[in-house]
Order: sequence, then structure tokens, then C-alpha cells
Amino acid sequence: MERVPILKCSNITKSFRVRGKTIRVLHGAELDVYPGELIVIKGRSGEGKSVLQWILSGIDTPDSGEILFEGVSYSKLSGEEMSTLRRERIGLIFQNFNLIESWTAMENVESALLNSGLSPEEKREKAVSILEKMDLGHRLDNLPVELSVGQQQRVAIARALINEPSLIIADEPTGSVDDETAGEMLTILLSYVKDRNSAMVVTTHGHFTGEHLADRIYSIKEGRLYSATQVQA
Amino acid sequence: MHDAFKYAWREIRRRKQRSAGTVLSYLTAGAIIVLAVSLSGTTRDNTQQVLWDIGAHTVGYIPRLTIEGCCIQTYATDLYDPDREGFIANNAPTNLIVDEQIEMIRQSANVADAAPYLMFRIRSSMGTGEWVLGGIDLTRPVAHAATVVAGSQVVEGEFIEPGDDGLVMVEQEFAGAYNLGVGSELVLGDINYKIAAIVNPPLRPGKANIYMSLPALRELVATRLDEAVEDPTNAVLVESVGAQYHEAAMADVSNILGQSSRISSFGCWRPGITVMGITANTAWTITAVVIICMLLIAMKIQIASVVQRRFEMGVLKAIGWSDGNILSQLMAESLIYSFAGGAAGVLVAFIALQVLPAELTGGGQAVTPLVMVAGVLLPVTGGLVAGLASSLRAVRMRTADIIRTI
Repeated sequence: MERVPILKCSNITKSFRVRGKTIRVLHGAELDVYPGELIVIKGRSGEGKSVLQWILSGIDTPDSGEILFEGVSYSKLSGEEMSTLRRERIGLIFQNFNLIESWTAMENVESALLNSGLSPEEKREKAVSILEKMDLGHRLDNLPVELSVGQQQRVAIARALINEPSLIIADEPTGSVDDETAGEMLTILLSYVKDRNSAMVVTTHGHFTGEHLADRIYSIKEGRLYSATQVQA
Repeated sequence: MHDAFKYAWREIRRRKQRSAGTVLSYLTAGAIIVLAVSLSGTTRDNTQQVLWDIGAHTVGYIPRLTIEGCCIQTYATDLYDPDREGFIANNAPTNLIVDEQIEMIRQSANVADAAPYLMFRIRSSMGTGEWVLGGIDLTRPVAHAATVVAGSQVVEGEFIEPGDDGLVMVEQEFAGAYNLGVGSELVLGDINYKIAAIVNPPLRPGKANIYMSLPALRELVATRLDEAVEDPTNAVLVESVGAQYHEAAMADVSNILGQSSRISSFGCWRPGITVMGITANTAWTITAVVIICMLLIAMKIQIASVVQRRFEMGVLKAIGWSDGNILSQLMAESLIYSFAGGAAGVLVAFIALQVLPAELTGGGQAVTPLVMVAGVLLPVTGGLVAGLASSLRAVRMRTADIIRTI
């Protein structure tokens, strides 16, 4: 039976104009992401991996090429539909977590449940539940500044996973924490991916703790995505 | 919508300093609206009262012309001294006015009320000379308020009331000249009257020496004419709807009484309404400028807040908040700020009007429900505009550009 990719990117190009000069950031990137996969994209800063990540998550639009999410083209979606897709089907984890500083851990996680149709009590229950799973049950009402880096990262992961997305896009998810914490986070994320047969795309500029567990590893250089290394069959 | 208000309220609570600044702007706007409207209303009412006292009234009459056959022959030509006695107004012989004309004047849109008035010159019963008698319709305030003589102008005695047909009121100067006082007897024609009051009205269009009720004077006049006239009236006392409408009211009276009519009024209503207009316009201009400034400040604070929260907006949009969600939250914030500010402003203004000395508030006008509603609604309208401006700015921000700068 033919496998259907969650995400399929074809010939993605992206350029920016800086001081009247056109800088091409992505050149014909091709990427298919299948359920259950962990894909690692490695590249140095400025090589285009963040731009690729934004395009994959629908935050930015490519100059050309097409992205299909479960067979639906991003270009066919309205802004509202794209927001809904991103909210319900894609979990985003930023390198520096990007938590709202004036909101508590629980409020940050709960914010991803906006428009979910759940009652305020249900939202709270769900947010509490996932934070407890992240061992943050005693930190629900703390502001990000009152949490350790590792705890902040767990809040960010909880926010990304609370809607049970099909695809997780993470930028250096273990980059800011010690190896032990990184290992714990990786365990949470990978077990989520395997349990729900979802997929995760990780971008990293150096070594990713879970690199050895990746299904495919890509490298990006000068905007070109080089052929995947098939780590596992 | 519930979520929008929930997040808006959270934002307002968490950023107390900024919230206080924004609410304060709306509070100032709301308070100024209420104070300006109430104080200008007080000023207007006070000015109106002054103008009402002196300028919003007129006396209309029809001078007797000498063209044969054109007029009702009611002038007392044969009785006593035909040159000295009869219907007069402003020292000129007059024709009579019919009830229908007075009713038409009363129905005019620019006229608040109109009353019949009878002025009759009679020969003095105390030596030579003539006296002017004024017959007032005591059932109509217009007749005995600003046009002829008011109760407040009684120097001594009691103002006469309807039915007091044997009583008269005499002018202070007249009483002094003839050594008359309250309770004195006064013979007019062949009838004895008792003086009920000494009055001292200022310059009035319908000024007379002796005032009595209209029925009493009609009864007296009937004894002076050589042919009977039923319920004669030779002048109409008119109160305009307001000083601004006085000119129009005078034109109406003139049209109804005919080309030969004369309208006697004080000239001060014209500069009065000019001053009123200047005062009102200045007050409104200052109010408008202050309100606009306050709303601009609130708008600036809200837009600055959006710029300050650019990062948050970007993150929220990245995790799936739609433009509509962001717009709803910011509009909800604006609504809360402006409603709270406007309502607080109304309250502050209301208290200020109660505690400020009367010299500052012109006597203090009650804050009407309409003004209260305006004091809240105008800031809310401004808040919605400010909210929309800041929301559109937030919505226009490209998520990728924000995320890129984080």
C-alpha cells in the first residue's frame, strides 16, 4: 500500500530583497514527510533552514513551488483556514520557546486551545493534564520568567502538543537545555510521534540529541536541501 | 467572543500602568463631554432666562389708520374727550384684534404662547390728564410675566388673581404721584376700584399706569364706548419659543396681524443671541478639540501597545490564532477601556457638578440621562475607532517578519 505523506513540498523557492538586492534563500527544496517519521534538517545559521521551517508551517509563503498538507495545497487555503490548520494540525516549537511572558504556564498552553470549541473548564482541564504529564503540575500559575529553561521548554512542548497535531515542526528543540533534560524532552516528543503516527521535522544548526533516531537527515546549504540520508528503512 | 473578552481582560489586568493611562484618557474625554454639555446647557439656560425675561417677548397691535372705512369703528369718538380717550398702544390709537388672530399666533411654530391684552386710555378721575389702563389675561403667564407686569415686581400688596375684578395694581411712580397706596380707592370712569398692589415693572412693551384683569377692563371699557364691542382686545402679548426664534416669531405675528400692524419688542434679543451663539460655539469647539485630543492619546497608547506586543501577536498568530482572534481581542480591550473610562468620566463629572461652587457651574444643571449616555457612548465610539486602528495594524503585521526578528 502506497504511503501518503503528511506534508509534501515540491520545488520550493524563496528569495528576499535586501537593500535593492535579491537574495535567494531557498532553491527548489523538495521534502516529503510521512507519518511516524522523524526528519532532521541540519544547517549552519543563515543557510535557510528557519525560512524552510516557516514555509513548512505556513507562516511564510514560498515564491514558487507547492506544499500539500495531507493532500491539500497551502495555496488553496484562506488565511483563516491556514490559521486553523496550523492551530489544529501542526505543533510548532521555537528555539527560544516564545512563551508569552505575561501569561502563566497554563495560560500559555491554554492559548493554543482558542477556537477549539471546548468550554473554559474543559480547556483548563486539558491544559492541566498535559502540563502534569510534563511534570509541571506544580508550576501551572508561574510566569515563564519564574520557570527554569527546561521547564519553559516543557511548557512550549505542551503548547505544541495539546491539540494532538499530525506534524510537529521544531527548531532546535533541545538546543537550550542540558543533555539530561534534552533526553527527557526527546523521549516525550518521540513517544508522541510514534504513539499517534504523526511526524516531526527538526531543524538544527549543530548536533541534535536525537539525531541517531531520525528516519532521514537532510542538510541545507546556501538554500539547497541536499538529498536525504536514509537512516532507517 | 467570550474568549476575546477573557484574553482582553487578562491583558488589561496584567498591564496595569498602560491600562490606567488608557482608561484615564477615556475618563477625561467622558468627563469633559458631560461637563461641557451640562455647563454649556446651564449657560444656555441662564442666558435664555435673561433673554426670556427681556427679549423673547413682543407686543403686537394694529395702529388706527385714518383711511375711511378700513377699520372697525370702535374708537371712543363721542364719549368724554374723543381726542384723549380710547384704545391705544405705544401712545397711538389702535384698531381691535380678533380672537382668531390671537389663536393663529398661538398656533405658530415659533410662538410659545400668546394672550389677548387690552390697553385703554382713560381720562384721569383726579384732575387733568389721562391714565393708561392694562387689562391682563391672568390665566396666561405670558400676559403677566415678561410683557406687562410680573408677580416678582410687586413692591407692596398682593398680585391680583383671576376673578379679582374689583382690584387693580398701580405703578409705583403713578402711586407716588397721586399719593395712592395698597387699599386706596381709585375711581376709573364711574367705577370704584381698590388698589391691591403697588408694582414696579421695568421697561415693558405693555407698560401701563394701572393694571387690572382683562374682564374687569372690558367691563369698564364698555361703559366708555358709544357702541358696544364684545370682548375687545387691541394688543397681543407673544412669547417666542426662544430668543433664537424671536425674529421668526415677530414675522409670524406681523403676517397674521397684517401689513399695518406694529410689533413692539426689545432690541436686546439680537445681540443676546449673537453672544449666546459665540459662547456656545466656543464651548463646543473647545470641547471637540479636547475630546479629539483625548481620543488621539488613547489611540496612540493602544497602537503603542500593539507595537509593544508585536512579539506576542506574532507568536499567537504562529500557533494558530487568526487575524479575527487578534482583532476581536484588541477590540474587546478597546471596548473595556473606553466603556470603563467613559463611565468613570461620567461619574467624575457628575460628582464635580455636585461639589463645585454654584459660581463655577452657573447654578449647576442636572446631568440628564441623555448626556450620561453621550458621555459613555462617545468615548466608546472613539475607543472602537482606536481599537480598529490598532487591530488593523496588528493584523497587517506579517507573522513571518515578526518571527524572523525574534
